[in-house]
Amino acid sequence: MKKGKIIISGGGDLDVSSVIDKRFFSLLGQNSKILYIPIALNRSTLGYESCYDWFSTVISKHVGRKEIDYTMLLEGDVVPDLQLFNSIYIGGGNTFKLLDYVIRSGLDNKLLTYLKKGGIVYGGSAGAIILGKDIRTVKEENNNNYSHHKGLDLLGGRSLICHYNKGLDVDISESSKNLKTEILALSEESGIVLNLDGNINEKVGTVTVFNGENKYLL
Amino acid sequence: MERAEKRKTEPTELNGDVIVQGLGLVLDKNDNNFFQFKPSFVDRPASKDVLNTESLGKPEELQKYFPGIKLVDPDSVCRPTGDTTFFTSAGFQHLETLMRENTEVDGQSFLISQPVIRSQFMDKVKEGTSSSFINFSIESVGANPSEFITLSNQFIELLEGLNINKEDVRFQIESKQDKWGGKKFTKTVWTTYIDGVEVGEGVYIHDYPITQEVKVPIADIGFGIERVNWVIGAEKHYFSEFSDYYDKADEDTVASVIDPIRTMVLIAGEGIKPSSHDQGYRLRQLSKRFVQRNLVTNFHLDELVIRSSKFWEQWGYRPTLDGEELLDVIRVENERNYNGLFLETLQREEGSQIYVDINQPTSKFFNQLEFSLPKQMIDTVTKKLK
Repeated sequence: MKKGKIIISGGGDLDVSSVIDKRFFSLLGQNSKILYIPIALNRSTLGYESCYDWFSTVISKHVGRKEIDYTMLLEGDVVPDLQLFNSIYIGGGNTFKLLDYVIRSGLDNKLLTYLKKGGIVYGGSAGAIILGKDIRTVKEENNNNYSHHKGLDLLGGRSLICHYNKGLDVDISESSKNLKTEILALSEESGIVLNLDGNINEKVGTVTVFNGENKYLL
Repeated sequence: MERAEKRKTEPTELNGDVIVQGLGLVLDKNDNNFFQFKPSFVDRPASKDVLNTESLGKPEELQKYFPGIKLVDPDSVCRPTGDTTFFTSAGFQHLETLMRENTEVDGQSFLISQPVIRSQFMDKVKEGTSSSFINFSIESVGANPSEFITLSNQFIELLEGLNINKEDVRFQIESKQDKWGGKKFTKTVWTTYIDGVEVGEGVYIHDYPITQEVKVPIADIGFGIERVNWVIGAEKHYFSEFSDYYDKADEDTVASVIDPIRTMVLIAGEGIKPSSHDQGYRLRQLSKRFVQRNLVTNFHLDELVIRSSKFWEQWGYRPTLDGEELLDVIRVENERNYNGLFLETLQREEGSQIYVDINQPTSKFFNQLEFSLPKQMIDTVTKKLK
């Protein structure tokens, strides 16, 4: 069976995540349509116009001669048939808010089916963390008593933390012990490409693995 | 700054109860999430003359509801590099323009009929929802809560002037944190609905940080002209300038075909060329939607562009391109995107791997195709796209 690809970005702004973004766009065909999900973010006073501008800029940077178009999925929208899209791009923001939406909307099962049919899913920051086993690696983000914490578990049983720096080592080790899960810590310039079995096929930048007290580079 | 320093008491966050009292509202017995007018208010006659026209048709008609506040020209739809968005998305962004021009904003009050773009609706267009519209806004920097209530009541008088049924009006009130261009603040908001459709919003920000040291209060009231005219029934259709198009297909389809051209007219009218970058990329996205959606309706481009231009100009929009230049930019881009759609369909449906440059007039594109492919194959795809 043809299986999909998962691209994980450690987060950060356009220039910082440029290498893994470039890899993502290289996987897309000549005429591709992306479903962009910025639901982890809160609506600003100008609606979602800034999100639209930001994602346009991401595309502009990597589009080359390809014809890339996108549609934005917002809370309250009917979740479209994912098969209409060549890729799903899940952006950053509040991880708990995002996971709550993904589960309530039934997007979790739809993403799994989409990947099984060969789709490409990109997760950046919060959008990446929800694809791991447990999102309580960023428990401080639960500012609204969200009840869901089990992620989509698409990363081979691992959990994830983004925007990593060494100052977080103690907290991440503690999380790994408490959650009984291996944690991949991605700094902002880093990223990984996995298949649906959770095998890491490619790595960009430095990825640190925490397994309880143990810490090593991937 | 001087004015801010002179302000003796710094305004505090506006309590929703003040809005309830000031606007004469009571809780909706059927839905506790909403407020409605007190019965005594519902029964009172309009305090000002009903508008002479059946619908809102030009900015000057609205001025009499906001005495003493000047009407300013709308901003460009395409904002300069460095502003918070590529496109103007709300009337209050005129404040950003004033700040960019180093104009003292504290104490400024103005009315503006601003054409705005809301890209999030590009793929959600239906009758009543569009990716561009006229956002009529009333802004007052330095306003205290009492002045905000006065402006809010003037907006309600405007609705009364349009002969709305006051029993159909509902309000929602909330306070929340927000940010604009990286600046964080708190706002108290009333949102008003007529027959369940959102028509306007009043926002009071008590702590907008003009600089790191200086915070000013801002009163901002805004509503969409097309939405109001449509909801109150003054216009039968949301895109009133295209009323005669609505018998050609169902109304959501008609709206979805017209919408991208209306928005393209605003962007291309300011000299933006379609591209893969920034504002030009949005123009390209809109064109692709028009080309795809118009396959069924086959609306004539020239007429769509002319009527859209006329509507925007009626509300103060001033394009930099003349009509012919504008039409040419849109036509060339639409032809490019039709070529792209044709090629994509040809590859998907017929398995053809032929490469033909899509950046040329459709007639030349087809000449090249006919040179390399059997006519039957081209005809099959042409039929599929009709």
